[in-house]
Amino acid sequence: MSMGLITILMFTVLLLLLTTGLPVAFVIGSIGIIFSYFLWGTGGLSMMIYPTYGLMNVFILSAIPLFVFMGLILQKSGIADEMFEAIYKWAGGLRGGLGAGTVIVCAIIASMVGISGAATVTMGLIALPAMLKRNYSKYLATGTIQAGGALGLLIPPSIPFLVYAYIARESAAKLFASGLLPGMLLAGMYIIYILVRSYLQPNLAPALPVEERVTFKEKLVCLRALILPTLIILSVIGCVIFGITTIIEASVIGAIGSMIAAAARKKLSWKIIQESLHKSATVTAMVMWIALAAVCFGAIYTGLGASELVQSALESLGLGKWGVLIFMQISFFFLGMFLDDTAIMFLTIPLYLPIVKSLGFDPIWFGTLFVINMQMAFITPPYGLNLFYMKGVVPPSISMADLYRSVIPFIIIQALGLAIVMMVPDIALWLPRVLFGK
Amino acid sequence: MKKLRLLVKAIDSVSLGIGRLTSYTMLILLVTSSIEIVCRYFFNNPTTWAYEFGQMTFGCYFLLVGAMTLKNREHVGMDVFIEKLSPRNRAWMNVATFFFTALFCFVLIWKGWEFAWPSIKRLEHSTSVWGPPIYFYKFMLPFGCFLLFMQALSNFIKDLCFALSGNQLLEEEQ
Repeated sequence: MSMGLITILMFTVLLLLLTTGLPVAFVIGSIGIIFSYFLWGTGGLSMMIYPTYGLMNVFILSAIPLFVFMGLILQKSGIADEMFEAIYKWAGGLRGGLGAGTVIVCAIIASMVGISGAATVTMGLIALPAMLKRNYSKYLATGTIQAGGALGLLIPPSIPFLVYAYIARESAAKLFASGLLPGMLLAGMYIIYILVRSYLQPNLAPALPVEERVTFKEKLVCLRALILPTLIILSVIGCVIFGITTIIEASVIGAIGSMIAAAARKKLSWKIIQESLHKSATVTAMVMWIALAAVCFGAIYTGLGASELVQSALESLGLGKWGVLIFMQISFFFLGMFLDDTAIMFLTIPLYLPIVKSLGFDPIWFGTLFVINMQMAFITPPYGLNLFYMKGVVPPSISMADLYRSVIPFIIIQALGLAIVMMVPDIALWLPRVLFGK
Repeated sequence: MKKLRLLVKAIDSVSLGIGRLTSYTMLILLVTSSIEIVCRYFFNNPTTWAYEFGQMTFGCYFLLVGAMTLKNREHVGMDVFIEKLSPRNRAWMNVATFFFTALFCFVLIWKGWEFAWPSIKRLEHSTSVWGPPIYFYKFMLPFGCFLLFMQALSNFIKDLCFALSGNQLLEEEQ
């Protein structure tokens, strides 16, 4: 059987098995094993162990549970409520203001936690009822929260960047820095979209009635609660992108800082710490077992000579430099409809990266494009994770079909943002260049 | 039936117990990393052990938590399609796919053990200044996969019982 045929067969079986609901990690791992056995017998299976053991020795990924822990503690100490309260008071008087503010809060919470599910669920519980009560359109309200939650992938500290840094052997600090501006760009685009649309169609996102607005002094008072958490997040981001500490050290500082912040609000209890510890362990296990299965799969795939195959296949298409890059982005988008970001990274980046480098593109920039693309995957039906998190917290009157409809404008904006960062690489590369030099 | 229930309960509590216990090691990681930060930045005298300790702790951490995550059914999968099935058909589907999970675990236990055994035989230690035992660490891979396999087995038994009888084996699963 030819290599191309085996590859196609492998991915078809993989997608089929995914539809059974078997966890992604076991799908990838077992398919890799089965193919390896039929190609090389049991000898081929030994190839899997070295990369697996290699994965166990990746210290940088231990920042994952620490960042998740930091975010959970801050979130459980009620910071999301207070942030939303502040936004409500500051921006509520504007048409679409609550929606625009939600984008900001979502972006902050999501970047803290590093996983977008937590932000989507939290804001779904806090902001959604408030927006619906003010007669916001359900599409606009739910779409905003889902898209805002996905920003956490891009804004540091971010787990996909950590994993990419490991796979691509690039500096995680540079990657963090490169994600910051594109993240803000996307947040800005969402806000503009919401404000313009609600200006044109006032019934979509009405302003707060005058009697519910508050005085300037009250507006200032509500900011006080945000000082400490904001300080923590900024110092963590600062420590990393200014190269003051390593990422792990920054995550340690963040985790301890978040406990101090929670204690300062008298919200820190053993129960909260315990819950956050269990949850961060679960999230880490989720990511790392997929990574483990994917490196096994990858070892076999590399053994098959897949990189040469992909390279020659791409060359034979005759797409040119940019054509290849766009082709890769499209493949990310389609894979993103079925697989989760860790799996896609481990399966594709080792194959794509040599090509990207040989075409003269910057691997840091490519990583940023990848993560922007993964944000789309998070809200793209049928397998957008945020859609499911959202479905878990919306009132029964909002159906899955409503949610599918709600994300469409945001997917278009994300695609636009992706195109902009592709055309103007400096949006991603300017900050790392300024901070770290060339 | 009673023995089966006992077995499933035993596996579940081992997975949960080890998983919970392991999740606390993150606190230890916090403490050791803090010591390292203080030693390095304030006394300009980094420890010889903190890096390796962190590395090994994390390796054990994710391997040992896998079974708990499976027990809570929190490993991500694409459940859009099977959500449309009735609960019993969903259980049948899980029963059918158990083979793949088992295969994955089996091969990793087998190959992981082959990899760890020479190291265990000579009680291999790391060549660093600190020199922690490596054999123990290499053993974690097959061990973590073994825990995962046992949990998969427990889930399989639960799903099979439900698929056959329509009743949950354990009350808590309702």
